[in-house]
Amino acid sequence: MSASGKTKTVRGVTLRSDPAREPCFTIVQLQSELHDYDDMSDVSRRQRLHRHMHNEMQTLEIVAQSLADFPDAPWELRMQLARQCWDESRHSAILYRRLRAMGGRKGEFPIMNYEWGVTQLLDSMPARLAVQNRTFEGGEMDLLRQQHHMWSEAGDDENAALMDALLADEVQHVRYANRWLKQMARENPRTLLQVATGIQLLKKITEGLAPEPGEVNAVGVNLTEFTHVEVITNMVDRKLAEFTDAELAELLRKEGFSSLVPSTTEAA
Amino acid sequence: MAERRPRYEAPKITSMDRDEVLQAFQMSAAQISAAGCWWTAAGSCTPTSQPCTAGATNPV
Repeated sequence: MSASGKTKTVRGVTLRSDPAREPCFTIVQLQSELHDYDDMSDVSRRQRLHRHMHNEMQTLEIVAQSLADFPDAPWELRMQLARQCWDESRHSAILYRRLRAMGGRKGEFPIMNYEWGVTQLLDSMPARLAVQNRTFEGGEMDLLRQQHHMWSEAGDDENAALMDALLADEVQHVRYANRWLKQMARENPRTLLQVATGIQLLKKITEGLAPEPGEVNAVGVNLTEFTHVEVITNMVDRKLAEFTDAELAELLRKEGFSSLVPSTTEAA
Repeated sequence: MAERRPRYEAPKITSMDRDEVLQAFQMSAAQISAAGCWWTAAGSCTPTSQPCTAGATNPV
């Protein structure tokens, strides 16, 4: 990695430099440096909570930065961003509490500021809403639904219930972004260009940082043998977040579930 | 020589309405996960064949 001022370069990809972190944290730049386990051992459970806690910290910073960067945004939108900051800080605190209850500690595992690095390159509110809320948090809705099942099947009902509660908040964060993006696009078509710019940048970064075949992480898990198809679209909650049927159909197609798309929607 | 040239085709313009643009410019969780930033691997307890259809029990 190289860094100069506001940006850093990781595997040839430009990202925003890392935010400040307490000295107890070890910041890394690639998934291969993380300690993601492929089981539900005690250390893996702590690592999952630690990673989730840090993800919520990042989201708080990203949303708070939008409040600072776009002071002229509509007041109602700023209020929703502020409420989201409160949600994310609460999520971080709850996850930290659970981490400690399970014998973990802050800084126990390496952390990566991927979402921050991407979103802070975007210079418009629509692009930030599209990438952070509609894409990252939309994806987190899919992830949380599965993590609810995962913790439940692992016999940890407390963490399973926690995932469900966090999911309910994420639905609201994605829904308000969907509403604002559609309203902004009606009022100003330039919004669509800003959305497209944000998503194209995310695609480019995603391709640039994808693991090489056979690459293993810091605890020996093969990163490319693991199948990412496991992250499956959470249809019900995405509908609550006001993704349209056509948008959901497009997501299903992207995940290889074209056969599940109703023909009437497919034709739309 | 001129006969071997490909036939001229007039440029085509695809127009998309507002909803179609928002529909097209999306990324799924699986696509984001490929960047190596997300992780759900958990052995056999992770569903792999169907999209999740169970909603949050406490939706806002």
